[in-house]
Amino acid sequence: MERIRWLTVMLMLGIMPVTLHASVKRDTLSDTTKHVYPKQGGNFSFGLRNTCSLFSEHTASSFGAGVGGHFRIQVTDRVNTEFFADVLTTNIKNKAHRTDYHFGWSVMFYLINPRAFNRKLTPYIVTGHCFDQTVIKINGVNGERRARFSSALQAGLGCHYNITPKFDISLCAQYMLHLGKELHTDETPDGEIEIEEHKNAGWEGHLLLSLSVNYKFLQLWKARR
Amino acid sequence: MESTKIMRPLLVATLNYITHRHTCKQKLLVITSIRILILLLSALAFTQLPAQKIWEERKGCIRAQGNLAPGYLFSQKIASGYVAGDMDLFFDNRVSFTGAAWYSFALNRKNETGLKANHALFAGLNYHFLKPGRFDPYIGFTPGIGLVQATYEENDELRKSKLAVLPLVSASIGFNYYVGWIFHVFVKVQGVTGQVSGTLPAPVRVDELKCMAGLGWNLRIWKPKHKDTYMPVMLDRNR
Repeated sequence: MERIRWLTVMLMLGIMPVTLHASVKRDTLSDTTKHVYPKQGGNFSFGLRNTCSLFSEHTASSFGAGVGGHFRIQVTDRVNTEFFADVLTTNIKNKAHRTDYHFGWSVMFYLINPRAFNRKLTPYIVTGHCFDQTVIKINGVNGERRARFSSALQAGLGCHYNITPKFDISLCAQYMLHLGKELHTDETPDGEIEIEEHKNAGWEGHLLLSLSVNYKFLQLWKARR
Repeated sequence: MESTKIMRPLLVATLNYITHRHTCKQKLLVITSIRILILLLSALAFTQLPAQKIWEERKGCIRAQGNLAPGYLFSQKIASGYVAGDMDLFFDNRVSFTGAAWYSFALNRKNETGLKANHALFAGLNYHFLKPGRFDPYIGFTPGIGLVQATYEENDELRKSKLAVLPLVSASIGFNYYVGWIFHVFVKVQGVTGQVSGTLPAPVRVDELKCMAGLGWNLRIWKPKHKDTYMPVMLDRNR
């Protein structure tokens, strides 16, 4: 009888760590329950932005500022698309000015899980394509004016600052590479500005910095969990 | 003794002015009734202010106003005047879509060079810091476009440029104070920067600080279906 009692005690002591472990496991919130965020595919957001342009190719060109808007359609939790239109003006040595009209689209890939934009910061890489109309005009009523239409590729890095999951401020830096005829200005030794157009495709580009505010208005389709 | 001699007529004159001793009876009746009415109305306004209902949810509301507004152009170092109007469409308790239009008065005389007109249109989003209540401070990012005309001198002649469109970088800060469900008072300050070239011989900067204040209107456009909680959904994986 005594042996049976000891055996029972030993057995219980042997099982106890297992039961304790099980109870501990059940009590831990992280193991049994987990934040499951709603799927973000189908999100439609609208944004307005200011864009700054820094030309790299021409010494005669300088800082440009512009205004634009875009809408975003999110495909999956990590992939978003952006369709945009911008107009930028750049002052060229107070003697001429350049106006760039951009309209195109980009794909954004979130580097970390956005957790339904409950994270404050969501960095992303962005790449895309756009059409571009460039107009350079010498200042004055009868100033020379030349324009060209081309295509461009852009890629860069950006980050959303999510004030609320629906509302964010985004800062994005992209390098835009114009594919087409090269249109640029040159300063003559007597200080005058000349517009030059080269028929060969040039690798002319500029750095675009854009600051935008965005709001997710609706979900176009309900993504499956 | 001397001072009382001087003070007495002054006191008497003041009392006579306040009590309208030398005013004719008819005029006095009108003045007194207007004064009592103003006093009653202001007392009523102050006592009734906390009792005035305001919208508990901003979502679905629109606030709009139109007024005369001043500005200051930094490059030109002149004050400017506008007929301005703006609106906020609340599609969220904290976020609103905003739009504003500024129509400028003539900025300088006919025989002067410089900016002639500086109209602008802005659109953007405002973020309202506090939960819905009477006091509603906000900050806004509002890019815009400007319509600018300037006069310049060419061959000793004054010429007027065509209206030129230019992009504007802009941000604003302000607050609303909801007095009742239908109206509110507001103050808004907006910083604007831009540069116009167009047909001008040299570019002109339009960096400006615009201000507006006054009485605005708020109305409910639609009733929100559900509250935005922004909380992530928690699901039990073992379920």
